[in-house]
Amino acid sequence: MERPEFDITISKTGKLKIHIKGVKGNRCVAMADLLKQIVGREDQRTMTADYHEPDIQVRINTKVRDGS
Amino acid sequence: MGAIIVLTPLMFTAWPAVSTAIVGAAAGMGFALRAASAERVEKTLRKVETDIENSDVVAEGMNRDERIIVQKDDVTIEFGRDARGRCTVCVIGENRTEKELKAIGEEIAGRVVQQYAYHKLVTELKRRNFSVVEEKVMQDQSIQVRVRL
Repeated sequence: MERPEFDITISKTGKLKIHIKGVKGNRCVAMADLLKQIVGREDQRTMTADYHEPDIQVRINTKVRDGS
Repeated sequence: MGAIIVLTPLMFTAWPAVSTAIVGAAAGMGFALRAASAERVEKTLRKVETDIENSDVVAEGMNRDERIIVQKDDVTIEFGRDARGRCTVCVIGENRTEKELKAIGEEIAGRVVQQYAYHKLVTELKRRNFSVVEEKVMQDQSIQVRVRL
């Protein structure tokens, strides 16, 4: 299960650098958009390796046939 | 591991939130609050005025001509709001050069933005069920916070 985590650094001039971890794919984009909405203006965005991993869930159904 | 974003805070808020940030920033730099007085700044004192970039302060919750004044040694700083809504910073010193006063003004302005951004972000993330798992002030005076859902 994804557990989003942010490492936030706020410089003494007020600039923020936030490392978003623990989320993949479009959820990562949503988190970045949320942070931008809270703080103000986005100056730079770099997607890292996890972003490119799919955020889809796979469900496997199995049926056991009763032979008797 | 996700994404890395760089953000600039926009201080579009009401005066009480700004005053909280001012008090926090001033305390962090060793300044103490001083009561506002009706005395005018003596003309012989050197004064440098600036404003905080990306600030747009709503006057709600602010008395007319309200200022926050802080002092440390021979330096006095007055914070206010101009007609355009910008948060103003006026640094006054008796034994300082204009360059020194300007540097002090720029530093405290940055720290005000830092305090504002910290409180805004942590408050909003807590509202969304994030928890602060670690926070510290570094030697370069940056603030590091780790939050987790």
